[in-house]
Amino acid sequence: MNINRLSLKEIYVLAIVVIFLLLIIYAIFSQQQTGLQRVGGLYLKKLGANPNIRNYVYGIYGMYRFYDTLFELLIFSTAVLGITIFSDLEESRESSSSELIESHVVDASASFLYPIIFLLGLYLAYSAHLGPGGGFAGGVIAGTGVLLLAIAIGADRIGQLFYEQFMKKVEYLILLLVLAIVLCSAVLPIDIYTGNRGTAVIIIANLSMGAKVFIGSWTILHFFVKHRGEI
Amino acid sequence: MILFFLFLLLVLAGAVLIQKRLLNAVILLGVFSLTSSMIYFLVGAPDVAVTEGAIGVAFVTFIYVLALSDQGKLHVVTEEIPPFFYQDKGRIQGIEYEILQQLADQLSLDLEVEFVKHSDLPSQISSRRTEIIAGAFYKEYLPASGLNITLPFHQASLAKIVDTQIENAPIGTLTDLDVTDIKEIDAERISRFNALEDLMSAYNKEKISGFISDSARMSIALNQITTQKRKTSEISQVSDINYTFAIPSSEVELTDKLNELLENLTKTGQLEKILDRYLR
Repeated sequence: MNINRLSLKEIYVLAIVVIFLLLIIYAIFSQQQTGLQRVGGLYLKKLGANPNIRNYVYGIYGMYRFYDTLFELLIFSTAVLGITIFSDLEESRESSSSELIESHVVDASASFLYPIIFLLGLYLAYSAHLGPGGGFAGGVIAGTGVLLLAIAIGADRIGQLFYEQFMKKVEYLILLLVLAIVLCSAVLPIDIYTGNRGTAVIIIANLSMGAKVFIGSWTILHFFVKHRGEI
Repeated sequence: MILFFLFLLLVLAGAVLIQKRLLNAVILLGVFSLTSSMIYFLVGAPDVAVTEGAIGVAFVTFIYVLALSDQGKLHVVTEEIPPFFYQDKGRIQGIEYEILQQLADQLSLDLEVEFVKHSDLPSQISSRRTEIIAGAFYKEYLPASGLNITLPFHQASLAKIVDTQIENAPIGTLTDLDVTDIKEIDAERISRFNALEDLMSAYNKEKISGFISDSARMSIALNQITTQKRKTSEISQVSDINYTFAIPSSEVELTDKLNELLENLTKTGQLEKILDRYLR
């Protein structure tokens, strides 16, 4: 193979493939305990004492690495804000409903699946401390449920259900609520994550994040449809 | 098992890179995310697997598809002028349609055709979505700035029809037709119309003594002239014109590609075959 003949894109691709292969080989044959596993061990020891949290992954990012989640949430909010601002600069389609492709299969499956998907999103956000899930994942899953409905009946009609300005206000309120919970956990002398009160705080925090991400996903979806035409 | 999915990731990544159609690449990216999600699950990270599944497979795929909904198309704006661009039983056909379909195939795009009226053409030119203007277009038809004219694909003529029984009435044309180079027409005695139907109606009601139009539109118009008027009407050729395509001047690359295609079609004789099929 003549290296001079390779384009920059091909070199990048080749480099990525080689590094990826090396990582696979390293992961298979390495018996050494990584630094991450050692740090994880410390968290697990501490979490064992808290009966409220059965999902250790949630325990780590909910109790010890909450700033990670908070910044993820802020990045997501900034992305949504960016899309909102830049979409306003683009010309919008007057009516997108005429472009909607009608399909009975999509209509029937959407009306059947939408409530199940939405409920699954809600469940994953609600029970993040007990099993796999989380507010972020739950919110996005609920958002994809709405997306499915938007494909079937049109984003304009759903836009009438979720009134845009009201949703924006709710989104900001939720962000404030999450920030307040973080502030309380940092400032108050008591541990707000223990006991029945702790469970309630965890559930409220998770559902708030789920709702925040759900509204954000819907905002992105709605603005794209508004400015680029129906699905 | 994990090893199988890891190698599948590499294969999928390679497949995404070699796709010519962006939509296919996006769908394969969705499959890539689904495989990643499976790997996360197998290595004991179900939380990450759920998030990757929801975002990578559903949400991001959808956003890409929406973003591509304009990008993957070649948006053509045209008047319905048989045999150049027309609909027959819901199917789009015509000389120009066949040429542009070949261009779309070459560029791996879907041809999106929007039929408009003559009066709507100027507003379509300024629209961000318009990429090609077709429908028996010629340089003098819409002398708007900001348009690139491609190579001609068919030579035709500008013709004048006059009712010999009517005197001292103006000559009709469509709104924007450039008649400055036509010596035998007095520019002050020209009456402009927004649509071919209006022009024909005025001619039949004897509000104008005649009208000027290109051969494609003239043949449509002739079908609408009353039998009585046909007896007193005379057609004469005014000048030669060339049917071309018009492309917004910002689309330089597209103009070059279409010119290249037209040149190739002429060289290989394919253009002649298409023209024969529709004009014979």
